[in-house]
Amino acid sequence: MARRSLRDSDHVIGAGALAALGIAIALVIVHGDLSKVSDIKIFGAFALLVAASEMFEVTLPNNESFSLGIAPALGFALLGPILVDIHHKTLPEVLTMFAVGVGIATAMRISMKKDLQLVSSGTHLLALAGGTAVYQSFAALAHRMAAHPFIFNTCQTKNPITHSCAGVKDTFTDLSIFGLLAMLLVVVLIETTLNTFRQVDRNPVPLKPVFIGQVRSTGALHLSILSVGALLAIAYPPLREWSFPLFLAPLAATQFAFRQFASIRKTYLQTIGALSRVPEMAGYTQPGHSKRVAQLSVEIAQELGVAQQDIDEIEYAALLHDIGRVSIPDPADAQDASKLELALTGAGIVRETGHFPRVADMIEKQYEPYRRRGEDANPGLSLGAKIIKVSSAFDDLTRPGGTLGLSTWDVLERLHLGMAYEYDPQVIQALTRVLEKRGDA
Amino acid sequence: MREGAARVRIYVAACCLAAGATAMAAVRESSHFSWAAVIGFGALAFVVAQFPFALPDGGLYDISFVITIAALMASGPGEAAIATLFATLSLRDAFHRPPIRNIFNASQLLLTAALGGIVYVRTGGFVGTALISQSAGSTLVRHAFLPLLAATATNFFVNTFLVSEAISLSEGRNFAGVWRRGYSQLIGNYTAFALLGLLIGVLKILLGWGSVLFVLMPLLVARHAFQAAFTMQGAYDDTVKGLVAAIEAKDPYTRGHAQRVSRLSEMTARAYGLSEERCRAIRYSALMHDVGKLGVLSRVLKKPGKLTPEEYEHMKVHPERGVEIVQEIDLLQEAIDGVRHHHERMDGHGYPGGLVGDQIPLFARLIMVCDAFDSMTSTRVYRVAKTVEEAFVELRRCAGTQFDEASLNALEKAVSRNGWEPIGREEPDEEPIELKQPPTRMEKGPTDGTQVASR
Repeated sequence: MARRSLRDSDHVIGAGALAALGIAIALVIVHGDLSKVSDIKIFGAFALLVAASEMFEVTLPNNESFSLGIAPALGFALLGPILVDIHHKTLPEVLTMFAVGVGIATAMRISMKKDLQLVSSGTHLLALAGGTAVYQSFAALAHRMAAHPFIFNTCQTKNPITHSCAGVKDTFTDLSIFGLLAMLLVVVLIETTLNTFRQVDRNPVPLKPVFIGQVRSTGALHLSILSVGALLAIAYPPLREWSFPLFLAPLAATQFAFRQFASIRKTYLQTIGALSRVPEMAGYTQPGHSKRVAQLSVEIAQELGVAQQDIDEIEYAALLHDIGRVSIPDPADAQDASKLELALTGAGIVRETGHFPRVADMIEKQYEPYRRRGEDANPGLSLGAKIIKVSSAFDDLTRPGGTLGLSTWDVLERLHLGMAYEYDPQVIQALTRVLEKRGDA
Repeated sequence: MREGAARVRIYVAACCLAAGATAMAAVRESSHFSWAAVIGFGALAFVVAQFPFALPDGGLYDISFVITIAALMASGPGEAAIATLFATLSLRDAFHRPPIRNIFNASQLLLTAALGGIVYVRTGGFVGTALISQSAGSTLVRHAFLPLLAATATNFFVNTFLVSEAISLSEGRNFAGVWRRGYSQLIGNYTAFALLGLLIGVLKILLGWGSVLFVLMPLLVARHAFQAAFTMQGAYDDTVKGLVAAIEAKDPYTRGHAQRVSRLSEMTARAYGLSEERCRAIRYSALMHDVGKLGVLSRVLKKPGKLTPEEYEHMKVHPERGVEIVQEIDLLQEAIDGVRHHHERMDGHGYPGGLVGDQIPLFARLIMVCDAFDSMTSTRVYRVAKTVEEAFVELRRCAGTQFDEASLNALEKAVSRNGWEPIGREEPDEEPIELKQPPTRMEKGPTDGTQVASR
């Protein structure tokens, strides 16, 4: 995958993360958090675990990658109140530990020539800082109010010499579920806000759908990452380093599942894209038409603030909008055939597959005017159909070497004239903005 | 049919009685039977059962077995058996299914869990805190792993045999066939789930219920992602099949051909011993092997008589046109080679490369023979389908010159294993008008992949 160039938002996040990290390291040194050997050992073990998990990464539906090193760091942050023989993990210590782990992972990535995940890790560091701060305030508050251990009280009878647990107790009661929930909320909020900020900085589109899309695509992932972190926090005191493989198992399952999903989704889009070339290859439509229409439709949809999974469907429909033409026996007859009939045939082909009824619907209605004489706008017409109608018309009118040979400006003018009945003015405006961004108009 | 229904009823009643008896025996095996554990694990089993995997083939698959094993490890066989009953209270199905199915499901799961638990304890398996107080590796193997393996094997065989027998009774199918096709490959999954159950059981003993929840949460999220992937895979397969079918509708002789060649090629690749990944790849390769035909003029494609040399040259471009399309997809290179070379011949007289023998990529050799086999066993305008036996006799004649012998053997193995129905032999109603037409050509042209008879 081509690496994206860094944008301002990436620099802002990087600077924020570095500033937080600098303060954290200074505080760790001043406080002498790592003065005891046992502390250094735990710190090192977790840093290695962060490095190992940081090597796992998940591709989200919006093609962003998400590295999993935050999971053990969350576990480390939760560790404070339960380990009796060492002091609580302070916020600066958590951040420093995470940074050391990310540093090791980055060195490994460079030596293995893999893509770096520094922006993702910086986002995680800021989210980790917020989450830990919130959890620890909850912990301190609860501690002061109830004066009893805050997270799991798994250890009732402690061996006075080894400080290890001798007895086994079954309590879920002392865990501050509220503390964990607040932590989850803050982590999700910070990550989502920063990622939305990055996405919008790259391509200025309406905020709300991007934000919601982010929550949808990462919410479940955060839930499982926090669960795994909490598991690590309660399993570490009795099991010590043996808890690490235990912790990595669910994390690996999560990563594998997400990877599987991402790869199928990618093949899907590629295959539809490849098969969409069939009508072109057979000479029914202009070469590259469906790809260009799909690209333009996606950009218009983003401009209009359509949610990610709806954009996927619009992309499929745009790619396949001419598939009905394969029913014409000979390309030479392509001009004579009725456009409406071909749209119906195309919709029928997609409907036959039993999936994507909305895609079929968009293909069927790709030629419907946005409103008819003397009527209001047609409410049965989906936004996708209207977008495809505009992009397809735009591509037909501007295609290089076409008979019309109109400039982008002339075409926009023409489409504007059609706004009374043919084209939805809202879509035309979005098209204009997309073209302005591309620098075409 | 009524006799069958009566037999099913007797079978279910017998399962019920056996389940009750073994469950009581299992409860007696638990030294300190704990209702708290039953309720705890029962609740977990119930939750897990609400999230079954829906497999692409339409089957549902729930992993409450993990909880059964966890309960067995943490508490004992009696608790495990009774907690498993909660898994059958699936909200989704209970009201849609006939009661006899619910009764059968409950009793077969109870019987399975109880028998597995008894086997575990009787083969020396430790339960509860006894399990974690053993630190020596050899003790763990002797008193945890080996008994767990025995219990898993018991679970697997009892469960799959009971279900296969029920299906074979109610649908009048052969027991061995049902078991082999539907369930025999699940042994690996059972082992993996048993190990996961061991992990959860040990966590419960060591750290309490909270830890179990924290393991289950990410696993449920992972299941969600897997499920989404499965669903998408199913949608993907249907969509590609549908689009390819629409594309090949241009050539009415070959309706459904691509889909059948795809199924045959996958079966054959499996019989050839290819890896799962390659079997999946050949499925798509074979499905799209002829998409390039759309780039061929309809006039040529549908021409009833023999092709002129120019037309034949024109026809020969279709594999390359297919490659143009398929190479946009992230398939294995082999899959693309399969499309490019599916009209080669072993003796080098094929196209586009004129490759000889082993120079022809394996995928292409497999697809070639499946392509020809399906054409022969399909009814065409000019002839009725051959039987499977006739087709093999004819393919055998051309082994070595046109087809690869090893691929042909694999196809024969696959067909004898999975069966194959010739198309259009039994159902003359399907295309009655075309069938009554006098044959327009007796020899097969190069379009349908069966150049066999043209010699």
